[in-house]
Amino acid sequence: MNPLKMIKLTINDRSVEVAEGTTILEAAAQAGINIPTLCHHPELRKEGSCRVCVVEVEGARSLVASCVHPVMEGMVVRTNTDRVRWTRKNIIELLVAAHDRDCLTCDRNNNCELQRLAQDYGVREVRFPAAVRHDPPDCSSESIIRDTNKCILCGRCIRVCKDIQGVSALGLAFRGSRTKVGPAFNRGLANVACTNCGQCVAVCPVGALKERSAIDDVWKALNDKAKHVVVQVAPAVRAALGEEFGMREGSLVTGKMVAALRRLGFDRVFDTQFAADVTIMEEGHELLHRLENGGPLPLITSCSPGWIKYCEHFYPQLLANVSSCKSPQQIFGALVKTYYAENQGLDPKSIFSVSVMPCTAKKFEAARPEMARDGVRDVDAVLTTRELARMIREAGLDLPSLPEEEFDLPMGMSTGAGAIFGVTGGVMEAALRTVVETVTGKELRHIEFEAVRGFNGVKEATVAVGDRILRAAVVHGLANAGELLGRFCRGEVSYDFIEIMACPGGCIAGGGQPRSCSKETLQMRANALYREDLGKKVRKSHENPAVQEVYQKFLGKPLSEKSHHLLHTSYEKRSDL
Amino acid sequence: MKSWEELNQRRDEERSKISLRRSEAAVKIIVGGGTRGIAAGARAITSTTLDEILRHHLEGKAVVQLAAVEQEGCEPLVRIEQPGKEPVVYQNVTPERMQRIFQQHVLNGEVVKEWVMAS
Amino acid sequence: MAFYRSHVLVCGGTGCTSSGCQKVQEALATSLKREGLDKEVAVVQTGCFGFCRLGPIVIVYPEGAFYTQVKPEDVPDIVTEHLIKGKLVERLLFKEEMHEKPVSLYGDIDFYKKQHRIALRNCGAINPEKIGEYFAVDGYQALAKVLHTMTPQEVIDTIKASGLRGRGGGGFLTGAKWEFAARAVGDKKYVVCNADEGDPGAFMDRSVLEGDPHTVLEAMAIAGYAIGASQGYIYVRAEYPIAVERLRTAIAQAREEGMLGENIFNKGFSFDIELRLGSGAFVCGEETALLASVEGKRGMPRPRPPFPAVKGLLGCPTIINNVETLANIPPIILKGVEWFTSIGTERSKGTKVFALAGKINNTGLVEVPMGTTLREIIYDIGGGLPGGKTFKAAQTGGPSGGCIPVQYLDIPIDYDSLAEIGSMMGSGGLIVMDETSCMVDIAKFFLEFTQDESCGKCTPCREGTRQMLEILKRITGGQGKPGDIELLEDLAETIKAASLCGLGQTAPNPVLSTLRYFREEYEAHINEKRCPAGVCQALLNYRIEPEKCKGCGLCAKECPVGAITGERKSPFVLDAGKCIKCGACVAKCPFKAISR
Ligand SMILES: Cc1cc2nc3c(=O)[nH]c(=O)nc-3n(C[C@H](O)[C@H](O)[C@H](O)COP(=O)(O)O)c2cc1C
Ligand code: SF4
Ligand code: SF4
Ligand code: SF4
Repeated sequence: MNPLKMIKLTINDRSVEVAEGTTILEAAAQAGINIPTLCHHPELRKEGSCRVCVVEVEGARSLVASCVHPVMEGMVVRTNTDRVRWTRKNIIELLVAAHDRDCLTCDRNNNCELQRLAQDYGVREVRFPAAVRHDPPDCSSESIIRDTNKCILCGRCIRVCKDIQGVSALGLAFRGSRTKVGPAFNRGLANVACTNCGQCVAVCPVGALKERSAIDDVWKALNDKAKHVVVQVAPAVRAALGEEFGMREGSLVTGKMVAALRRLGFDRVFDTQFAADVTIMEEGHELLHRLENGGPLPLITSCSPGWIKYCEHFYPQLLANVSSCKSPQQIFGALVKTYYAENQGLDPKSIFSVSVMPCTAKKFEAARPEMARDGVRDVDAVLTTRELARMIREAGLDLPSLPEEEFDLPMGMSTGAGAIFGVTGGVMEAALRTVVETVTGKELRHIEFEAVRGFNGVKEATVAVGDRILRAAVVHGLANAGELLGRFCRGEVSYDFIEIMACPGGCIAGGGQPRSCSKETLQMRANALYREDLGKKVRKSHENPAVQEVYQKFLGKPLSEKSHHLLHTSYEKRSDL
Repeated sequence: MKSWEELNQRRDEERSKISLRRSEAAVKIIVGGGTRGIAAGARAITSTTLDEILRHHLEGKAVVQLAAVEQEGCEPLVRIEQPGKEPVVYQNVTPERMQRIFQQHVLNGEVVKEWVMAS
Repeated sequence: MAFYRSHVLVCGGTGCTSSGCQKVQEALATSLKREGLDKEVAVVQTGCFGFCRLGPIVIVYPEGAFYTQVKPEDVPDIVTEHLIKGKLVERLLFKEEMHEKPVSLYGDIDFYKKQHRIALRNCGAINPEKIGEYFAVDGYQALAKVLHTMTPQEVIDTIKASGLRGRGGGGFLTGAKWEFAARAVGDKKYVVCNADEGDPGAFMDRSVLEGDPHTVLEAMAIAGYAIGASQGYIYVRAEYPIAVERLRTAIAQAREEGMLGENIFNKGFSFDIELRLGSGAFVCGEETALLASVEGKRGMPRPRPPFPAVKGLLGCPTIINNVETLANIPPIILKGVEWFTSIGTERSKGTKVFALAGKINNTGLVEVPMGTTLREIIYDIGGGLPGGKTFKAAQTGGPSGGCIPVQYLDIPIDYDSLAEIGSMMGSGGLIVMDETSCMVDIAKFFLEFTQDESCGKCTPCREGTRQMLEILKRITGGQGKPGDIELLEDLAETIKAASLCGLGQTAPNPVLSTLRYFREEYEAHINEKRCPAGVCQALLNYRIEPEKCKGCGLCAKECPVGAITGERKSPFVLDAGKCIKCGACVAKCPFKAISR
């Protein structure tokens, strides 16, 4: 395959020239011709299984799946013949016949790829008896609900889980029309090595995979007069929420989002970025401590709960390397129920603490027994970005037309370092800003660490920290992480500090974000967070006055006994099945 | 095995062991079986014949067959068939006689006239 | 070295193993020992003779006496009469249906006389567990010839010139496939033998593996030499334990004799073979699914291109050939292109093995030259249909094929002629149907199979075959609706055109071909709620014809639900409301007075 060699072919009588190795689907797209797809996903291995992308190729006995078929010199392709349209329509009709058609009450109504195709192809009647399975949904997981009755067996979830996340929690079972997707031995998702990352949810074209919703719990708390309801919002949310309301990708909606949350009835609207700054204080000092006291190194970040669960399953031998810091969500939750409660003279039990996250794994994390003291959970309910959007719509609010408002103080005050936590490399960059200045005592002139930015699967950097060279690595996507850790365990590489985010691209691509499939969208979300960073007056965590105040008034200093008690934890080995 | 010659040699060796399945044998020695033949000692003739074949390394070239041919008073009978030659039947064969028939007739092609059955 | 005056061959194929050849063999051994014959008479276990209807089969050499359906009790007779006294045991000799006299000798039997055995040449003739016997029949001579006198390209050219086409179903030119793989670049290359044999009616591959395993090993080594591979895999279904055992033995013996392993014949060519056991899913016979399975993944097809010859096992160029295809390779190398191309038709050279089944007298395996007519196979070799029934159609190609109606009995069978009339060669299953077979029911039977065996990956096959089956079920169940035939055709076209692999692309064939030749049967089911062949239970209406009924009352006694009543000596009456259509009465009535 030579990507420099150009291939000439005709598509619908138009001559097209594309690089060798291009698929017919891609070639058609370049020629402005849209071919429908279902199992295809630009970020996933090509499978060619749903067959809705079939086209006619002159000389071929049968139709060919354009998503997998490479172009060839002189090929004559037709994408819009009677035979093609009618075959696609039949295929869609067959899928619809096998699909639990409760569209009106489905999570994905109006946002379902099958529904849209059925519309586009004018499937107005299903000539076959319904061939729907009637399995009970898998509700075992704290994060994800699987409804196989809606599954169209496109296999996207299987591929993302295996190829991108390296987990392989899902697979195909049985054959013929009994074929179904699920964890091995028909177990529940909670009983296998699923990391709750939600990447499967993000790629599912229909309503077969969704987050376990916390909306009802949150409404109930909001309506409970006895409850003081506080909310924290993770950085990545503000970079994507607008998409749910038809705003341009990459719109930064921080202010409007705060306004919406106030209108939903939250008593305080805080920012997880504040806790991210605290995390940097703790984790940064943990790194320095380990550097000075002989390890264990590398220190590996602990912000991503999908990564933590992955580590428990697949790399338990590295749990000691994982930072003992809780994630920003949990640090925030712990501080709300202690520092904030004390401050406000509130009984921690009367506080209902909600978080809005781009992530499904955060739901699992919040429910971990490690994340509660005396039966009081740090975080009581976790909403995904998508759930927040639904609540906003339910409340009749139109996000784009809301005014811009500010977070509440003190826990709404944050730095640019906290903002970039939402994108791969951000935790590393934020930590470096603080660690380097702490060690050298001098102000950094250039605080952008470009080497750790971008979407390369593995990014490496060496950074001078005083008279020491810090070897750093940043990975995102758990398959990338597993690969890197494998090399580390085999002694092929060594590092001082590794940032791992479970989702490919970081939190901006989290399993709770508005569904989108393109790298371009991710880039725009990332840009939005970097804009937020740039726009902040304070861009280094240790300079956040509210953070400084927490340490003065409450925690003492980073790694103090109090912070150990409240802000640190430990994890345990789990089976790798 | 490391050469084609060896393989050919093996083939020939092995072929002699199964040649009777391929009706390739040059000499057919048919011993008259049947109830009377057996009573008269046909089985001893058979084993003598087999021994002779082995002794002269004629495996693959000669077959021994039992057949229900009978002739009152003449048992045991032995019939020798060779392609292109008239078959010859010997009567009242004993193991000792069989040895000579083998030597003279089968190996040297001379009929042992005195024991040939009168026709 | 012992010398045996007689060889007693007992077939030991799966067909006969199940009909008791093991016991016969044991009885022979004890009986011979008792009579002191164990030094004079050898018992040889062979592969299948192909004539499975009459198994177990025993052949006694040098006479070539062909004994059929031999039971352990028959063994003393064979020993004392035949082996001691030299008298053939008449009652056990095979009797040809068409002839009056028993046919005693192997070579005289019609079933074999009309065959031309190339792939099966050694099956039933040699002991498959002794490499020596394979040597005796020119075994490994082709490999020796290739390594000593031919370049890889010459081997490929020979196979190309022979016109050999794949016997596994696709009919692709074997030489061309080898050439693709030879030209493809890769650090490693592989030769894979497809011994999955998923077509439920076919067992020729099993017979070759059980009766002549070395020929497959030899052919794979030749293929390895031709394309530059040093490793081969045989993917064999675990349900073939005898084949697996014999292959294991054969591989071990071939290694020991230097026919496999390093530097074969000191010619600098190394080749070894490993077994991989398949789980027996039909789709695992599809080449890309097979490769996935060999790699330890779920056996699911993937889209081609890339073809395995370019990107196969572990991403390396790989050729996949069927067992029967491979069994043709050594004879082609030894006897030459001219010999091979003199057999068969213009575009299909050589022979094909068919597995005869269904309504035919001589069920079993037959190998005939391409271009033989169905009539010759069914009547001359197969001995016709039992019970004087008339031929209605034959299904070739198993679940992927189609039916051949009576008007095509005389077309010469080859890849192209079968495709033209809507069927296909497939792996060589041949099921004969007579007037009592319902074609809708047959189509339903095959679709049940494919829909069950679909891997479930692609939509048209997974969902489409299921819906087609639903429609067929309702037609045979008396619930057919106008428009059902058109819906079947609509679905069939979609599935054929859009499925990912051959399984789906051919799954509608049984329906399409029965619709093509027996559409009126479908219409009778749907419009008249009648099954012309009297097979579909739901459509049967049992009735006693008063003019034929003699009033014996046998039917009434037989009916499990008491639906038949009446006075002896006068016509009985059947209550259609109570009748559960079990057919018990029909079988019992001596006067054929009950119609349906
Ligand atoms: C569903 C399906 C099942 C198949 N099963 C077999 C099989 O059991 N044995 C076989 O040799 N080929 C089978 N094939 C054909 C193989 O894909 C492949 O074409 C063949 O093994 C190539 O060998 P050949 O060229 O020697 O025939 C199957 C194909 C399909 C689509
Ligand atoms: S949540 Fe993540 S780990 Fe779990 S099944 Fe989905 S993709 Fe796999
Ligand atoms: S659950 Fe969703 S993503 Fe997974 S196979 Fe089913 S439809 Fe596709
Ligand atoms: S055609 Fe059938 S067997 Fe083949 S890939 Fe599709 S679902 Fe699987």
